Amino acid sequence: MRNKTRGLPALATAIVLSLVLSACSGNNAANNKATGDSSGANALAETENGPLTKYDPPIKLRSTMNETGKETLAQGDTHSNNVWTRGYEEELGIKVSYDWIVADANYNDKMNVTMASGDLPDLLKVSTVQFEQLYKAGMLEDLTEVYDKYASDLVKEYYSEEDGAGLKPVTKDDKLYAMVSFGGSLDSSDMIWIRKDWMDKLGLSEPQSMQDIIQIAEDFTFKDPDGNGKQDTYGISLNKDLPINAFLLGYHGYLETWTQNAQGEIVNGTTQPEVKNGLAELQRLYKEGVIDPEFGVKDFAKAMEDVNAGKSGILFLPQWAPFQVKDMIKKDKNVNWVPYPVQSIDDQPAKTQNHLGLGGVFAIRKGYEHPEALIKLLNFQAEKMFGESAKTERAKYLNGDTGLGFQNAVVANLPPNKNVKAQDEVEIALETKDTSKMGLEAKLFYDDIMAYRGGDLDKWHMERIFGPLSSQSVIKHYRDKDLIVMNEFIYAPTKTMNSKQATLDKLRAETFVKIIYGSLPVDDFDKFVTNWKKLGGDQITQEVNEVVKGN
Amino acid sequence: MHFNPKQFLRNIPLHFMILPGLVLIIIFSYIPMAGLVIAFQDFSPISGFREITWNGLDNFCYLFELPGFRQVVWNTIFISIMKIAAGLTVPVIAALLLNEVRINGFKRSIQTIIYMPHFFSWVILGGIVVDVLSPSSGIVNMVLKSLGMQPIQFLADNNWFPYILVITDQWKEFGFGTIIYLAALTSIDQSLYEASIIDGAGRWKQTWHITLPGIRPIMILMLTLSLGNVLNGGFDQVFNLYNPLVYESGDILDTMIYRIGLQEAQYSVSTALGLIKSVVSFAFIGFGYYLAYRFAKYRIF
Repeated sequence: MRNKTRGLPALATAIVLSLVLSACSGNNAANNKATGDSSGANALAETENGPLTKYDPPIKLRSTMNETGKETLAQGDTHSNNVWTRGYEEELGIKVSYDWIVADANYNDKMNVTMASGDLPDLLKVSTVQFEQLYKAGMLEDLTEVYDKYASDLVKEYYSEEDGAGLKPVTKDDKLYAMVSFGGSLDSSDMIWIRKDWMDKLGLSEPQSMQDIIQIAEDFTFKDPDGNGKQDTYGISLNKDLPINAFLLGYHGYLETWTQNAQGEIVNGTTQPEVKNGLAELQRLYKEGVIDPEFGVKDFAKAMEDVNAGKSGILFLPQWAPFQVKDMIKKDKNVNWVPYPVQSIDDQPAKTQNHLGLGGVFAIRKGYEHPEALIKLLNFQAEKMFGESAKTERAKYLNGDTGLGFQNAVVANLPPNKNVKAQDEVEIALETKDTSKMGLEAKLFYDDIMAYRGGDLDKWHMERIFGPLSSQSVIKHYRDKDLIVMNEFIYAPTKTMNSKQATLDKLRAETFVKIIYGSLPVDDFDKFVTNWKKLGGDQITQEVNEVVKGN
Repeated sequence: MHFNPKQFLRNIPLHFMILPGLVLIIIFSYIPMAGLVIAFQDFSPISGFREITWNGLDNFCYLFELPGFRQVVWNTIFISIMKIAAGLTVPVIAALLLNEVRINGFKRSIQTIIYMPHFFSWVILGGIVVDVLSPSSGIVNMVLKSLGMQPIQFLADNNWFPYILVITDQWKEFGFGTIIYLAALTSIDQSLYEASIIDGAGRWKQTWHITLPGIRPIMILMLTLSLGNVLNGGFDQVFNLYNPLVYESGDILDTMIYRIGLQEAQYSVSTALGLIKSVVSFAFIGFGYYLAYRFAKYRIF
């Protein structure tokens, strides 16, 4: 008898455990049911159909959330109850709930699991690959009509940027199956960052050609730009992920881009002969000692440590580079990184290669009664951040004017290429001292720059991103002089890409690093091209041509 | 070892205590095994298990046809076997040496220092290793240079890389392994040593005839356990140390699964690869248990 009672706790534990486990799944099922019922009843209730009309009675919308960091939330708020979700409910009559909220890094995996479970949320925030799978399975609502009817002028204006390229990847047979977060392509531009203080010290003038860049790199290595009497600096900072795009662009090699050749065929930039010329020069520079001899074992963070320790003078990074080196300026305000456009080795102008940046795809589950709710949510976010109401409410919704609070909105879309436009306004305002015509964001950037000029070294990066001599001004130069080569392939990966791209990328990384290290001759590039084609490259090229020409 | 019904009945409450553990294992280790079927399917996360397209052994064929697959298998086995061999000898030697140390404070501090790296992740240690082995500023190459030798790019040289993996793995783990053997050493009957001294055995003979046989069962046990890992080259370590220059000698099954399965989202193929790993590992464990039974009379059933 005593023995039996002693066994009870263990038994109880087991029972409780199984109850908890079954409760998890039970809960979900109950939720689904509730949502289904209520949304059905509301279909008739809606009368007026403006971009921001309120649903009365309110409707329910299930979605999912990626957690990007608690600091974007106001004190006491959570991802499921914050200024955005309350705003949706009070002003739009949309009760947004999240089936699950996971860390950003796990979002994609969790969404794959959710898609496999078959229990889809009403609003699907997915990747382009997942969008393609959902579309093929016929699980998405056609949004063409609701977009035309409900999208606010502001939202329509955003999506019309770059000839409407943003919505192309989600348009199938002239029907729109999703909305996207479309940042435009300009911010992906490549550029060359050079230590101006070193150039000044060595009496070097601004680079006008690739030859100048190479000369500067060599002088940075051999002429002791930091003046410590030792030859301990390198011209060019590299790492094992090979950020050599900005260098190869000087040889007109478009490593990451599908371009159209003279015959009208889409070809992959990686395998073009121009790349070989650039690699040959990199090999020579490495042999000379202009590139860190250990770059092949260093990752990005490790290489940036060297840069921050004043070991190298040329960086190939896009417009956000100043964030990586801003601490150098706080330690020594003479340090001066300045961006330059990519330079050319011959008389042809060098161009940047740009990509369409889709930050996310937002689709509606087939069968959801209010597909227009997605459009309204986008209208709402645009209005609160950039519309008329932004003047009074922006700070509230962003948790501070410059906050990243838009990440807590269920769907968000920032104006495409807004940064280069802001730079325009900032530059004019800096000249005229007239801030009255500035947009809200540009004004904030302007204030930061004025703070830097007043001595706040914490704001140096704003000067180099939005000031007169900045990465956005380089981007403006590309845009105005028509120096942009766009990636022609803006769609989801093709079938063979899915299965072979990893192998091809490995092959490329291995070959290129070895060529630069000099352990393979430059001519092995030709062997690489042959292998690349054989191992799936040819098939991928064919598929890419079919997709691009079919759209 | 005989089944005794009376005793069994008396211990029923104790057996119930196993239940939660069993339930957990069934839920988290056995039920997911059903997912292995996707190794034989053309699996798509969206249609999930509702629309199944079987493709037989296609995924396995795809794997075997991948360029460099054999190299990867060879790397994995080569690296793990060396790691197992080192893992069996280095901690034993360290334990024997520590056992001879008579000053307690010294012994303790050595122990603490050598098992410290065990608690750091490879993300941190990877950075340290890159610095220590750096040809221009690393301490190892400074020593080589002072001896008049050329600096060696340890992490960028296919001839060195696998050995660097083994050495750095030992650096991280041997201190921790030593603890097990030190514990085993304390369980050896002290009277055996006293008897051997009377018989005139020196330190060396004592070690050879008493200490080593004394810890043999533990060594066999450790070997058995590590044989199950023969196809685990150590993902964390390799992933944090390797680079395109040493793919040839350093790419292992786990890093390959990571690239193919997670980065390219080819779940079927990576499951197939994982299944191959499991089957081979299972065979090795079986072999290990046989060895354990044969040489140390160690058995679990």
